[in-house]
Formats: sequence, C-alpha cells, structure tokens
Amino acid sequence: MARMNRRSLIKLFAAAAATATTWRLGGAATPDRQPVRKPIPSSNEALTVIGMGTWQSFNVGSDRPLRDARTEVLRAFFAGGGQLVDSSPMYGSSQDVLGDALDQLGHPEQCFSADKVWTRDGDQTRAQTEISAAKWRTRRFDLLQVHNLLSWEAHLETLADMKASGEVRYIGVTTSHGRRHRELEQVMRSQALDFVQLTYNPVDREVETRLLPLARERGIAVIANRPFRGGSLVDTLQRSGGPLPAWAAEVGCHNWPQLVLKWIVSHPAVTCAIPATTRVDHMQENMGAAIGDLPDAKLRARMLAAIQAA
Amino acid sequence: METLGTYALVDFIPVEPEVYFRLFARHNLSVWPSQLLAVPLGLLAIWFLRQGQTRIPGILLGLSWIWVGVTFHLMLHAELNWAAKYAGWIFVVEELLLLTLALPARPRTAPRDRDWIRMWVGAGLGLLGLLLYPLLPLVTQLSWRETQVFGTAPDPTALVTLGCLLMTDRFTWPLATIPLLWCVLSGATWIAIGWMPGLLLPAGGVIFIGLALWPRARSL
Repeated sequence: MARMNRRSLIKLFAAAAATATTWRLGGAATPDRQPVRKPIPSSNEALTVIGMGTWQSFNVGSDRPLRDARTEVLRAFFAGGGQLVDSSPMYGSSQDVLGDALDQLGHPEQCFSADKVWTRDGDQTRAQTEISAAKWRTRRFDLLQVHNLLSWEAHLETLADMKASGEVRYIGVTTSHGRRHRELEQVMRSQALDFVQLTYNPVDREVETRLLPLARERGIAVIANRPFRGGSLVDTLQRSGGPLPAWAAEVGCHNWPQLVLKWIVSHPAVTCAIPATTRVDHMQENMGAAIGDLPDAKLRARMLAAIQAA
Repeated sequence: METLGTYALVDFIPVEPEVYFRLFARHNLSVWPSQLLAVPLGLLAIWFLRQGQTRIPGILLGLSWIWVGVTFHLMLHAELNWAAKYAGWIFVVEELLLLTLALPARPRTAPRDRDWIRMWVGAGLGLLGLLLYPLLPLVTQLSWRETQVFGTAPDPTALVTLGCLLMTDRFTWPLATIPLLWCVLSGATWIAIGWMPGLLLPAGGVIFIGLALWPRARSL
C-alpha cells in the first residue's frame, strides 16, 4: 500500500470537504438525485430547468487564472446536471472564455449551446454565427436567438432557413429588463419560434399576464433571464430576509437563491432559468434548485409571499 | 431610445468589478517599467508649463495618450468591452490634438499677467494625478498591482492633462473635450462598480470647468 504523505492527506480532506459542501448545497446530480427536466414544446426534448448565463460572469478576457476559475464553475454546472448555456456576441470575451472552458472539459455531450445574433445588419446572421461558433469551438449551436429583437425580421428569416437546413436545431428571440414586451408579443404571435427569452423573477412579473400564457398557447419554450435581478434580489434577501422559512426544506430549498429559482422554474410556462455566477459554491447552490419536485400553484403562492415579505 | 430609461448604469458595464481591477494589474505588468518613466516625464511637463513653455508638454502629454489608447484600450480593454476600441481611437485623436500644443506659440505672457489661480490649481491637479492617484490602493482594498499610473492608465492621464491645460491658455476647450468626456465615462464606470475613489477624476473635471470658465485676469 502506498504510503500517504502530508500532501495526499490534504488532498483527501479537501476532496471530502468539497464533496460534503456539494451535498450540503444540494448541487450534485447523482443517479438517485436527477435534476428536474422540462420538455421543449416544439420537440419534447427534455431540458434541465436550471441553465447558465454568461453576461459579465464569463467576460474575463485573456486572464488565465480567471479563465481557469470559470472552467471550474462550468464543471460544477455540468456536475449538477446542467445543460443550457447561454451567451452572446455582445458579452465581450464570454464566448471565447466559454469555448476555452468547454475545450478543457472535453465538450460534454449534455451541453445545450444557446447563443445569439446581435447585429443591426440583417445580412450578417450567418457570418456572425460562424464567428460565434468558432469562439465556442463548436460546429453547430443548439439554439440561436435574435438578441434583444435587434433587426429581428431579417435575422429570423435567415435563422428559419438555417433551421430547415439543419445548421441549428432551435431558433428564438430574446428581450430583457422587461423591454419591448408589446413587440415581443407580436413576434410570438406571428413567427414560428421554438424559444423566447425574457426577464422573469419574483419582482419582475409583468410577463405573467400575457407573454407566459401566450408561450404556452403557442408551444414556445421560455428561458427566464435575470432571475436574481443582476444579483440585487439575492443580496436583498440574504441581507434583510432573515432565516429561510422552515417549510422551504419541504420543497428542496436550502437557501434564498434556491427558493427564488425554484419559484421561477415552477411556472408552467417556464422551461428554464439562466442565473450567472463566477463562483463554484454559488453554482452548486443554483443547481440544487433543480433537485426535487417542483411546487404546485398553492405552494408557489406561499413562496412568493415569503420572498415579498423578506 | 424609449427603452433607455429602463437600463441601470451597471447594465452598461460588461465585466465584474474584480475583472476590471485585474485589467489594471495585467496592464501594469505588460507595460512595466514604463510607469517609472512616465511619472518623471509628467513632472517635467508641469515644470515646463510653469516656465510658460508648451512645446515639450504637448509632446509628452500626446505620447502618454497614444500609449494609453493603444496598450490599455485597444490591446487589453477591448477584449472585455466592445466600446473600448472606440475609446482607444478617441485617445489616439487626443494625442494628435495635444501635439498642436507643440506648435510654435505666441510670445510668452508676462508673469504679472499670468493667471496664478489657474496656474497653481492646474499644477495641483497635475500633481494629484501624478503622485496621489497611484497611492489610491493604500486607502482602498486594492492590491498595489492594480494601481493606476499617469501615462499608462487612462484616469490619471486625463487628470494630469486637464491640470496641464489649466496652466496654459492655448486651445483649452478643443484639447479638454476628450479628457472631460473620459471624466464622464470613467466616473460612470466607477459608480457602477462601486469604487468611489475613482470619482477623483470627475471631481477634477468639475474643478477644471469651473476655473476654465472663470473670467481671465486682464492685462494691465
């Protein structure tokens, strides 16, 4: 038997501590603890309800230590059963950092790549997609979305052609911060979309009245962005929200971020939420929200009341 | 434009604060030891302006702007923020504008006619940018590596330039427009990031505007 030196012991303890932390945060997917998945209405393909955003969080440029740190965040995401990763040409170096991290992780098959087209020039859809794919170091995206409805008519036409020819699997449009909802509604009514991305969280709930019911009616998958309002919602809850209600554990929530995420993804129209983070422990927390049953309408109302009262 | 009001300042900053501070650390490392040269050259520029000469200060300030524009904005900052490439080119334009200070000047103004308040406040702003700005990590949680030095980082370069422009009455507003624009952009960035010492630059910009608008002393 090999002699155990001090370094091996430290590694052993560190691994044990990491495993214990992962379990405590509820972020690890194991055969008996699989994350909740919801079907994409247009195909019935199942998608884990917690995805990952990359705005700000993955924009670290050529800073090697920070790139490696983001790789660990992505590793924790996949370890928790995560699938959908969302980025955009607008996010600085995020696509490139993501590609680097995916390379290091061997491009896991479970990755559902979601990117965007972000240019006023309606003739640049394919050209920009090729640049984005090169940065992700992938051949094909699973989902391409028109970023913030920018020149959406021309881009959607090309994206539909690309989908028909198998260059992309799903197409959609995005908005955020509650902007241009009227126009988004028109697009959802008039275009054949697989996905729509919008802002939805316990504070920003305007989409509940028209857009989310319309998504269900039209069979469009919904990606909820800004679930933590850029972090400010979680900061507020953790600073002044006090202890988590005792009943939260019954719905598998061990902290405020999980309560918020589980509330979002338990809306019948929402397919997944895409929180962004730079920290492995926060990623494990986020992925913990995908474990366990989703609450029903009655329990959702209770969760919302608790969040609003905090 | 109707949706502009729905944005918060932080929505325009595509990086986490940690990444922005590390940008200065990485840049400092990449241009080391030019910082050691830049500060004495900045002091030299102030000394020449105190003597009423603008040729050498124009060249020195111009060089510092193009160095910052290329090595900071275009080579490093642009990989994090698409808008930084425009900032880089604007810094290059300012370099060209500052070189006009090096053009032959009209005869020196007699010392008795000089505006001593502008002269001393300008020198004060310049010294603030040269000597105090790099010390800001001392009063914050930053590492020394993340310090910002005149001639290599944009904020102290803009502050020193505004101070120098106060010390001369040549082309004040055309040359000050870009440094003042940077005061606004950088100040907004620091507010969004939550680093209040960064507001030293916009404060310097306000002082500059106040004094530049103040009626000059008439010749006797």
